[in-house]
Amino acid sequence: MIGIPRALLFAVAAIGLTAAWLAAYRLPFADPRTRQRVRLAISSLTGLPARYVFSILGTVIYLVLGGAAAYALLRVGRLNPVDLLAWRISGEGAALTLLAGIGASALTAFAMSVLHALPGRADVPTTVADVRWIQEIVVLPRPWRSLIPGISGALEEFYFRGVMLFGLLATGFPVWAALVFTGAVFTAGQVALTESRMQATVLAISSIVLSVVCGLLTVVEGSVLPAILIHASFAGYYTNMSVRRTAVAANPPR
Amino acid sequence: MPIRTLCLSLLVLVSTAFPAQAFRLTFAQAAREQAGGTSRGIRPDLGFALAVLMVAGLAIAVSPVEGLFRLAIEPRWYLYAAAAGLIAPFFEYLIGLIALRKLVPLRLHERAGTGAVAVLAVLVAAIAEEMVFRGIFLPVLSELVPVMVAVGITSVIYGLNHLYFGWLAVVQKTLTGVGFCLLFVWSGYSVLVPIAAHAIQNLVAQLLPRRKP
Repeated sequence: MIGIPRALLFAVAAIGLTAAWLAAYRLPFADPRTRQRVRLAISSLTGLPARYVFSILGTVIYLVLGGAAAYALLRVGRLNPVDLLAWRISGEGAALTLLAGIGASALTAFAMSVLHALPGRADVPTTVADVRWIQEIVVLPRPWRSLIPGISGALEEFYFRGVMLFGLLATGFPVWAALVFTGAVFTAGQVALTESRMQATVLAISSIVLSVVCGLLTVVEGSVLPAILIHASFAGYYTNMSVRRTAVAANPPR
Repeated sequence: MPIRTLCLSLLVLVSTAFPAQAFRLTFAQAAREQAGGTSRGIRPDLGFALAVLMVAGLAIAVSPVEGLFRLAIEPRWYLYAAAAGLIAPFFEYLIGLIALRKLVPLRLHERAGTGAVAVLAVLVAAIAEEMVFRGIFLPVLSELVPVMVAVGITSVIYGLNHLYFGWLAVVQKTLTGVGFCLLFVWSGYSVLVPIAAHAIQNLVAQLLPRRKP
């Protein structure tokens, strides 16, 4: 039976900390003029090329705030991060992780092909490439274009399917309710970072796919580590794919 | 059903629902590069079929359902399978004729090749698709819903895997998928029966007029 006060406290804390994380990441630099001033100031102070400023600053802010939110939620849920990450790896677990990774990619590709097949014929690669944080990442040199989305994805997975999901389960939430709750908060957070209806649709679909696949995998394996591997590789792959597709669109083969 | 087993079943279902989509773009790109002479390596049509076969292998390794693969002992099931395989391409032509009021050739994969490797590729594709959809997806889903509901869902999912050929292909493949599912269920859950039907369908389709996407 659900212990109402503790479960409710944890759920409210999870929503509040997630909202605070994303708002503190997004709002201070929402105004383009502020962004430009900060970009030029940091560039002139550090000598960093201006186009890299928000790639690095945005990532640092996102990771620091996410780490702080994860720490606070760990305290609220009285959870040990080592317990969340511990994975007794087996051949079956490795096969399931690989299958789940392929499945996440396949489900996303299918959903995007449905979007493309429906009236309006959505241009998904261009939509993805237009997402602001992706535009900021893809200007970086090659290894960083994969590493930064991968690290951000790993932190998101640790926070949502690790701290939040295990915290909800520890307070007595049924598994299905905990999976729906974490998936809904994660998806809402990703959609909040978009700037158009099509971006919101594409990000919502990929977020729901990751929530379902990574949530189920975490429950089956009893560890968030396999889901972290999938989310990190998924984020790195799709960010770079958007670069390749945009490059092809800009320079079509003759 | 224990919650871990339920979650494992659901994870196997969502991970095997659209295996073709995970590899389609990669092998379509490889096909274009090989056609342009800019790359070599495994033939894309065969590589794609082997990739789907790998998904089937992974799903078999982790599936919570016991006794996935059985043999149909009675030879009549293989005769039914051969008949279904021979009829299926013409049945799909008929659906196209009804839907569009004209005879529409079957759509060809952009990665489709020619020669002996193409024949091998369509045989491996038949084995892989049947192992995924009839061998794994349907039995796992049947543990969660009544078997005829599972037949319907599996067939629609199988049809939707052909969405890149257009909505007509989805309808055609959904209906042939129902036939393969029923062969599987009525033969006593023997995956070899729909594999035989699907392989014959693919071989017949190789001989019929087809069009590039």
